[in-house]
Amino acid sequence: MAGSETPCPLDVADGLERAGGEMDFYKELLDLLLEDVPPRIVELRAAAAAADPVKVAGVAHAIKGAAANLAATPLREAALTLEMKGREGVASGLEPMIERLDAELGRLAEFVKTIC
Amino acid sequence: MRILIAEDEPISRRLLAAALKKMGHDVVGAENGRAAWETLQREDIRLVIADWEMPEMTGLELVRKLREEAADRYIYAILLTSRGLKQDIVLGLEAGADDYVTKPFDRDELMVRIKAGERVTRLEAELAERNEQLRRMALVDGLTGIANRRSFDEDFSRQREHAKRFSRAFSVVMIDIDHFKLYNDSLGHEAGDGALRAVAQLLAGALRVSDKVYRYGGEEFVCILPETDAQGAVVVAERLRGAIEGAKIPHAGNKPSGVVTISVGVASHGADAAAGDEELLSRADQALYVAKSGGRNRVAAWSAESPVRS
Repeated sequence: MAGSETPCPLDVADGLERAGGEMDFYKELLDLLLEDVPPRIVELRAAAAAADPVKVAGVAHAIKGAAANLAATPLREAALTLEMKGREGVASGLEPMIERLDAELGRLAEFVKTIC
Repeated sequence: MRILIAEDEPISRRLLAAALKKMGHDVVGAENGRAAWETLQREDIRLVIADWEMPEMTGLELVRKLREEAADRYIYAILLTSRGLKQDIVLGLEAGADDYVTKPFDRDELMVRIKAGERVTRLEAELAERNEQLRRMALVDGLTGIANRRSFDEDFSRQREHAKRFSRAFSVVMIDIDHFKLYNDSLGHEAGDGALRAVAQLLAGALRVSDKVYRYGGEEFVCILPETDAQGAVVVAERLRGAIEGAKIPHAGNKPSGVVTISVGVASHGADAAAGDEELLSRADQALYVAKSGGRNRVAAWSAESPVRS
């Protein structure tokens, strides 16, 4: 991703629409997402360490779905990459992808603080 | 309407719940297919939205289970999937899903799909109600309004099983209107029908709450008296006979009383009776024959000495 412009972690307009146009509700769900994902990243690391591609795909799938629901597109894509790898049966060399996911989550958390 | 959301992912579940509530629905959540299945056992819910991928039991497995095991009612099932692949959709619909929604869902699309589901569940509920009506009608005698022969056959076999299994007594009472053919011949079939209706109502009124009277066919009626031994059954039978005679429905051809009367045959399944329950009906019939040949307007209970009707 070096050199390319980093995309906005959240498509607020789209996400807000999904939440029925209610900003408070949208924010609440974003907070839920930010709480929900860190333990899943721990699970991902463990699954990668245990070379368990099925588990990797399952956890990544859940993160992908949650992120997609709130229009957190970069987080969704990072999770999708991991899910695809897991489905292909790949369980090694996933750490950089998990790091990328973690970084996207961090960016999202920062971004969420700026919207109110 | 009440909608069950089976979705393990909390954000998706909450978004769905919020969207559905906004549409005016009542929402119940479940974290996986297993929990959803358990909720469906407890609650009367007719529409389910199930995520495809869930731990414990997937949406696909839930839908299969619904179609295989929840036969008492139709539950409309919408699968929620992030996989828009054609083969997945085919697989989902084949498993028994009625529809699918791709994640992340679009509110407007969800609304129209739920509406389609509501239409189907409403039609299904109407159909089930009609069927229940028909089923009830199929057990009622059209002329007299009391239970019919088919209803008797069902209740009798159930009663027999119950008596056998728990060693309980019960009795059957066979009833025939005396010289009914003469009544019809002299007063016409319309009057005959009226007499049948009157007798049916009188019999029903003279029974105890737990007893039941059925039109057995023609001018014959039969009663089932649960938890009643021969002695008790004779008392009830005598009360029935008295009720008909006491109503004083004119029947000039029925000598000597000149009113409608009945002959009654009683047969009982004793608490200790091991065999003979298959013959209970023919025994009641034999007793009825005894009552008839003994001069009519009387009650006879079956005994081993009863003459066999040829």
